Amino acid sequence: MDRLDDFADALLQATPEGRVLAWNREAEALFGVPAAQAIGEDLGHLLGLSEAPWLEALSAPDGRLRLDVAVAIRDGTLLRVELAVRVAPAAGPHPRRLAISARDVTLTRCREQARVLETRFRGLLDAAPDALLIVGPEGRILLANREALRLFGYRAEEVTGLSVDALVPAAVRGRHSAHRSAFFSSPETRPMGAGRELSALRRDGSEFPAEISLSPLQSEVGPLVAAAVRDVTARRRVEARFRGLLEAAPDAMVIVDEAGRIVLVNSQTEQMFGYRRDELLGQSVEVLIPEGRRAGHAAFRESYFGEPVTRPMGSGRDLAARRKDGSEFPAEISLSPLETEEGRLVSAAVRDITERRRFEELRRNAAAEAEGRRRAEEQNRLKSEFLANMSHELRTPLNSIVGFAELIHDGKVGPVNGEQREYLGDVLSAARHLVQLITDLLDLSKVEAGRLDFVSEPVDLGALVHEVCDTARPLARARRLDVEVEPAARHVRGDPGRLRQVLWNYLSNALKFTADGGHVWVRVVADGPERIRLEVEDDGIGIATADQPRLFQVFQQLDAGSGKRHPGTGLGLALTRRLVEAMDGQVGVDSAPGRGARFFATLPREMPAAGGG
Amino acid sequence: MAARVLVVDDNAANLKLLGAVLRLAGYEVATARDAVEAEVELRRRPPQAVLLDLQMPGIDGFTLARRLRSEPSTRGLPLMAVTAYAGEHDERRAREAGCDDFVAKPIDTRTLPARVARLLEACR
Repeated sequence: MDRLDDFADALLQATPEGRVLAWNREAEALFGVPAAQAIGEDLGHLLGLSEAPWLEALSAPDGRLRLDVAVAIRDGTLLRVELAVRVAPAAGPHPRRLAISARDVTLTRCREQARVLETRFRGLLDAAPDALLIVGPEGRILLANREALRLFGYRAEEVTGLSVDALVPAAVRGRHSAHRSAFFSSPETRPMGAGRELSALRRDGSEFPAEISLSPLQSEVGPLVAAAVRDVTARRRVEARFRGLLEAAPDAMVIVDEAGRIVLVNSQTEQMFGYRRDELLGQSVEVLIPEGRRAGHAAFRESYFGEPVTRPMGSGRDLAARRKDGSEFPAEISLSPLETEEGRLVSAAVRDITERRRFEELRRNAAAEAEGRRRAEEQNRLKSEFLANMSHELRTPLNSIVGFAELIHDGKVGPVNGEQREYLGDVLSAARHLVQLITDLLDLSKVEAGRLDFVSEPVDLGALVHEVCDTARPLARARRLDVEVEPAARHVRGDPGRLRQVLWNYLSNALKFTADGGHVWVRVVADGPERIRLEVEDDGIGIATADQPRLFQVFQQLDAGSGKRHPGTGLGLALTRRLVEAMDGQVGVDSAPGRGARFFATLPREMPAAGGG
Repeated sequence: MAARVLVVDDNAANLKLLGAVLRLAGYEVATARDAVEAEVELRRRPPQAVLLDLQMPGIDGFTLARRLRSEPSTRGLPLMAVTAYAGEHDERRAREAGCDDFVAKPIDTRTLPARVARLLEACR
């Protein structure tokens, strides 16, 4: 056995069944097991292998075999070991056995793999802001970027082949190996800071809190893992310092480092954006920005860090923020720089101003409506003024026309013959029609503009109705006119002049459309306890249902049968409707062709006063 | 003796019509085309009543009515507005200015003389 110890390689012998017969000092060093313990043990067990690949040497023609195997030694370390196996035939007292020399090729293999990976990944690695490590299945670092070297304090040549365990504090090293094998058995991307409080170990033995994300990586040298390591010391310190303060703030507070990463958020942020805290920490702050604005925001952020000033809420920017579910909301954001030992940070207070926007919009709409109303009122006022002036200007010459025609027609200025009198009668009738048209038009425009005055005083409808009917008797001529006023509906409060006007319009209309020998009824009846109903019914030609809605509109005179138009201004019913509505009433008509018509107005017993001016 | 009535109107045809209607009814008529002429006529030979238009160039009918009401010599003079301002609002303003009666144009030539007679009666 002493003979074997002279060799530089680890040498060992085993029975074909794998029982260790010899184990030199190099083997003790390589596998971490003293010869005293190794001899008699199962070789596969010692090397952490479930199979015995060396047995193939027994069937090799020359009894020799070279193997490259990954072995797990006592302390859990994985090594890449090259085994040279030779079958030693039985000699003397010694039965046939396996003579194996083992060499640790872990570093060699790592360097070979690193060379292969270097060309492919180096550029990518050094461009990344995070510390990145590419690790092989044996837990050896194959490549590390500059940031990783800086973070952990290693030189490039030291790091290739280094076990990642060297970067893990001793206290958690055991757990770490377990994590690693679990990861390789079902590799999936695990994002940074997925709820883990991890720490990492620098070369100088100091530790720092870290956040680590792992991604599987397939390569020509086999499955690898890319580990991104982030030093969250600053965040932890900032957290410790600002946590209480942030939680007390009414707004969502997001603290961001110079690289644009979210260092700290308060619970208001979680509520406002729908993210859990651990989903945000370490992420770029741009996740909270609508996609279309992210590039612009990143540029803004960089320039802001270059020259940070406190920017208060609502300083004139139309900002929006994005929730986890992708929905966006208008936001107001104030920024203030935070100078900390860990460098410059920026604290952003975010306020959801959806409600305020809605309110502002309502207010704007209300203002626009008010402006619209004001303009409409102004237009109405101008129209009324115009019509009042027109009325005056038209009445002055009409006064002369009607007046002189009357004087001549009545024979006051000399004898007139029958034909002259008839023609002058036509002039008078046309002129009076024109006067009525002007009067109705002016009233209509005033009531539309709300500029017609309504008084509210006691009115005896019995007296009022009879007075109007008496005035209409000359018009009625050969028609019968019956009046019925229900005593219960007789006394109301309202504007007698307007009520007279309404009744007159209905009555003159009814007489107009009733043939000689026809019949017109005027009724005032109670309509419930609060209202009265004023009706004028005739047995005239009636109105088709389809035509009825147009009756109360301006200049809607209906053709009667032969296409002959009936005399009237075309304003009377429209004006009546406006007047009645201004007195809180409603107008309507019941009619059918050939069956007469009943026009009505229902009005409150207490009609309101209204003033225009 | 027939009552003397002063008619004030800036429209010549209207002035002529009112004059004709009143003369045919037996009144003695004086006319004025504006407030200044009216003042001259009032001083020259005071009438028993004044019919005045409200809208006139220069001093309008409202102002003239108020002046007549403020002068002791014309304070009790019957005033009738005869105007193309036909609304109740205009009537109220006319009455506030001191007019005793209000007639909208076009006038009814058949009833106007009786209305003037009633005015003279009421203010006597």
